[in-house]
Amino acid sequence: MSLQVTDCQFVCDQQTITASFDLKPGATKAIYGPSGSGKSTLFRILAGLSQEGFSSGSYTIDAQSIDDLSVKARATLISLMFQNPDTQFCMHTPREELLFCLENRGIAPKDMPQRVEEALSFCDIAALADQPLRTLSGGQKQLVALACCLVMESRYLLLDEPFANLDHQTRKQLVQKLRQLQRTRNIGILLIDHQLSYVTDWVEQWLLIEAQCLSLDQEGILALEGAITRRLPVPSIEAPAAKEALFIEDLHFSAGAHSIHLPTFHLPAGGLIGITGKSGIGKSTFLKVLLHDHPYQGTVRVNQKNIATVKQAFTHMSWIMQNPQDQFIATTVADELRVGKQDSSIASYLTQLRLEEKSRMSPFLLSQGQQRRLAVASFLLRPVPILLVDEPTYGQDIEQAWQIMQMLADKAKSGTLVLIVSHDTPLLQAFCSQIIDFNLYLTEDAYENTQPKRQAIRDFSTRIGHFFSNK
Amino acid sequence: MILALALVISFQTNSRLTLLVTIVFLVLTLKELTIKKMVLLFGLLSLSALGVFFTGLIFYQNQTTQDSQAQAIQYGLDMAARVYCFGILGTAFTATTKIDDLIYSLQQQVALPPVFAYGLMAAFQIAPILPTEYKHIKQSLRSRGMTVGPFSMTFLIPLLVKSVRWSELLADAMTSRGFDPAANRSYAKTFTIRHRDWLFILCCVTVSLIGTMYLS
Repeated sequence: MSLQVTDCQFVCDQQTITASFDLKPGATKAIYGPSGSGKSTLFRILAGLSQEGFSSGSYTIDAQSIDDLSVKARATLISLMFQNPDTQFCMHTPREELLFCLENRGIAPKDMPQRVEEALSFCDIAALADQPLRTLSGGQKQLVALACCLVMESRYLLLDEPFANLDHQTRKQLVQKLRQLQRTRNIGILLIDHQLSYVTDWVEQWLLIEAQCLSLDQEGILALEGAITRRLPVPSIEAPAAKEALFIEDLHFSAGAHSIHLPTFHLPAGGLIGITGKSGIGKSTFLKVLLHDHPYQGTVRVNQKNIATVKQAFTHMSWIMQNPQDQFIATTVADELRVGKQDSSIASYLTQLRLEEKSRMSPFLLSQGQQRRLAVASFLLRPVPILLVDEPTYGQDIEQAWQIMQMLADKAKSGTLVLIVSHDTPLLQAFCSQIIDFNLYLTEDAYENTQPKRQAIRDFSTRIGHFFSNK
Repeated sequence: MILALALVISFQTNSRLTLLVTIVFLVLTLKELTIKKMVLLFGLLSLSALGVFFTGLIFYQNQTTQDSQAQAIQYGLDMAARVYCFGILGTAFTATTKIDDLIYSLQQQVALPPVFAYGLMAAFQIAPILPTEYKHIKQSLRSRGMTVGPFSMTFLIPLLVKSVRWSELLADAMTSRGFDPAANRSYAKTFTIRHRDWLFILCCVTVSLIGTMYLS
């Protein structure tokens, strides 16, 4: 009675990895390794999604090879929760998605509503059941994914960084739900996570992905993490120049049901500014305000010029988005870096990013961590007064998160004001010359007067959209 | 479920009066729409009908120079009525049928293969995301200090790559939810063709037949 992986050999990035471990029902194990080291590849093999890279060995559940099982049988035994919450749903609403799962299992229609309700209420998402999945936040989507695993009644769960994009509170809630589920259903859980602190008291054994798969206990992994952290160079925070790049005074803008009110800020050129706050508080919205894409009240000046008078916000700003895939525009990694540039100094840049072997691959085929590095790097070549960066280190191991921050810090030294939105407070503390915590500037009452023309036009266009769709 | 039969009738566009009968018939189905939508619909339809009327009129006048003006107007009206008819048939169909329901029903009645059915549904899921993606790419280009015209090829490549990528990810998601095209599956909603529906089809066919014979 267990998930057994015996001498399972697979190739990821020309590196052969051999893994051997077993997972008993009710047990929790985690996989640790740098990004791009083959963790996701292993999960895809175990979930029976692809044989890519697999060369030899066996992986079985109750002495039955996972590949020999039918799709239906496999799904009830083992479920994969994906890294990217945006691309794991096939239907329109959470309820339909859950019904789809049940239909696939061939459950009698009369039992369906009850099972769906149970799963929804367990995950505390009954209120969201009929909302389009597209409109949910990352955390809510992961809860829906969990509900799907619940109705599938899988006995083993593979979690591929399910917490990476969530804030502290939601993370804790999700971990708590998972543990509760594990206790009641006796489910074996195998997970990937870069942030150890949330799961150290839960995970029983860590598997280190390298050429040979090592297993470590809690102290072992913490010691390893400590060793890596100590190896990292200590960043030097330099006092930025006195020249002012961005000036904010009395800025009001709405974000969802609440609004944010920022007092006066003088942000200097060459500064590295961190922005934190809980999920959905309006950090990304703030970036949109700066980019002229969201209504606001107050004064924002870039290089002494009021942005309300500037026609094209992007002439003095660059924006690195949350999801790197949203920004790729070229067909190969090298071209991605080259876009807009004619120089040929990319080779050394690729080496620095550890992507030299992949220069001819499509950026979409890189691992999640590599994509993020590339996305950040491809925007650094443009000389620009202000750089806005949204969650640059999500899904990165410490070493690479550190490297990305180092790249941004170097950019700041060249005289660019860099604003970084992130949940990772320790990282921001290590690098930033100033941290703005949005939790302090929250005002509960929605700000009514910020409904200018643009909003009205958007409202109108969605209504027209509704008219032409079904009701 | 009242299905594509409305479309079947729309091929029967031989005589003007039949069309008028069909319009009256379908206005009854239009109770589902709000008054605001009705007004908008008729406004748009009238506009295009007017256009078609004059096109028909002038076309007829040019074709047969010696014929009377009345016949030309008749021809124009004929064409305009057709526009109304198509418009209303279309609306009646979309107002009463949800796309997902249609697909489910096709799957259960006409044995549409599940792979195709769910693929179709996924496509309708993805379509509304495309404008957002377009905007993302535009902003990405601007962030790199480039500006490109709205119809540049630069937009096309990432959109294409992404669509392919989405379909792969979606296929994985479906597999991991236990979707197996070959296996038996149950249906949360079942759709059957009831006696009422047969009666409706019969009515439509007879009305249009009689119309073509006697009213032309």
